Amino acid sequence: MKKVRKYWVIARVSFSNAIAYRAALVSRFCFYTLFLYVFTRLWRAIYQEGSVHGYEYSQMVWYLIMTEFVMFACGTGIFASMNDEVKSGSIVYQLGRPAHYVLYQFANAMGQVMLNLVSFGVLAGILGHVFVGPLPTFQWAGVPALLLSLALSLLLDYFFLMLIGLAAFVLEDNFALFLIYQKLNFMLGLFLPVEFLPNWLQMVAKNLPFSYVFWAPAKIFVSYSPQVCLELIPRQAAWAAAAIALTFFCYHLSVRRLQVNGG
Amino acid sequence: MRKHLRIFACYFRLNLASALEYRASFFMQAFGMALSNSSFIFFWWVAFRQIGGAIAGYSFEDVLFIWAVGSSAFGLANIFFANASGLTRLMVTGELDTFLLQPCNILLNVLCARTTLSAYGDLVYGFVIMGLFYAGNQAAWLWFLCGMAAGGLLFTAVTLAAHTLSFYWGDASVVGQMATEFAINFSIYPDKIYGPAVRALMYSLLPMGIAVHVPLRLFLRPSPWLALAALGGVVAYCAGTGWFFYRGLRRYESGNAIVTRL
Repeated sequence: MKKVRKYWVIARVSFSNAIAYRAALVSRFCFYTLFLYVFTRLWRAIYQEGSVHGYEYSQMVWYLIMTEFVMFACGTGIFASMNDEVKSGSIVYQLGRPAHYVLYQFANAMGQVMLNLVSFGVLAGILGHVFVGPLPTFQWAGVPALLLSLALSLLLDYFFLMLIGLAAFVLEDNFALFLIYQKLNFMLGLFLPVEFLPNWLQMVAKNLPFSYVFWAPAKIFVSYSPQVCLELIPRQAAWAAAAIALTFFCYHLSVRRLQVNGG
Repeated sequence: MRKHLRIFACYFRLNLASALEYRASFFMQAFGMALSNSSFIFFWWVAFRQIGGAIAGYSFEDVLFIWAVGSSAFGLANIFFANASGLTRLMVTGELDTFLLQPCNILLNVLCARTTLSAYGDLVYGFVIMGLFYAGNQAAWLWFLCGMAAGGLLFTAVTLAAHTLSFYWGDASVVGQMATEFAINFSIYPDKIYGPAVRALMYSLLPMGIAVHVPLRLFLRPSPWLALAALGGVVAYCAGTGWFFYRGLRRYESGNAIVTRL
């Protein structure tokens, strides 16, 4: 219990820090609004030319609102800060703290994520109603499943980024790995629902973890049904569990190989 | 003029040498940026596959053309003039003082002082797209190169103008980032997806339409008058930005930071 309280305090301090830097949040609001505006106009032009498989225009816009919400609210810069800490040597101070390094970083990131979830959640709702009005397929019954899916997305994305961060312990620079991860996410769910991909690629996408970061919660949001939840949530949970286990395993391996110069 | 060209060439040489010092990082960032751009092309490929025709009057090849011009123009701007986006930081930290004391053109000195490694990936990416889809089309290459040169200048001018606002308002870095982001978004999507007000913006205050969409029109339907008007627009915008910068510079109050530039 005492251990849990320790990480709770870390998250609370991080939350207070996040509130203190409101200007950064406002600038991210501007970028979120800009991206949604551009994509809303783009999809309107696409829908004017013809129909798109399985999604109405308003569903498509709400789909993008949800995927961008996951990216802006749940995304953390953990891989970059770990990279900087390894390069500068300041990782030594982090490893010396009386807390498990992985759990400390997770609790520290959650403070910012909590603020993001609330503030971007409100903004996302407002923008969706301004751009296309309410989502016609929205069901209150789907909210618990959506929240569960969002929590799993957050875990999946965070621990993948943590794995990329841990790669810096061995490679010293993890930027290329992040770019590959980011682009796989872009192509397999962030910009386009997986159903839009060619059949052979859909098969591949559904068997990889990347689609379950953005596509799964957005799909549950715009096309909720118990069948969809039963298909997606267990896979999300399995990939999230695998990512967490792999992170702890890689941490124990890589921390032994870490060589710090300077600091 | 010759002195300015010599300084420009010297900065480029030094920036490239410093980039090549960390070769692996340089190639990784350049490759990463090219990969990043490719994911957008993938998006367009899927979108056109769904529709089967044109989107907002643009065919898939037209989109590739504006991507090639936009990407290479952005790359060019950030290889030669990357420090435009660092102007606010120079003002806020007081580092601008050192640029004012050196015996050469202040604007050129500030703009050329930094390069962005990933910009080489953007530059090369445009050429790769052109090589793959417009290999033997001389007219396409001509307008691509014109658009790239004009776009490089306009990207720099837009970023510089937005950051110059820091002379008047204090820290305008968010405005600078937003202006750059708008300029990029105006360059990589068909202009007709936007409403009339935004389209007016992309041909006036943030004139990336002149650098990207006008070359496409000139390639599809050549018109000397449109070409001359576009050239006039680029020259006027760049000259206006230079004037705005020097006018803002008069308001700059020197800091007390002690900085050394070698």
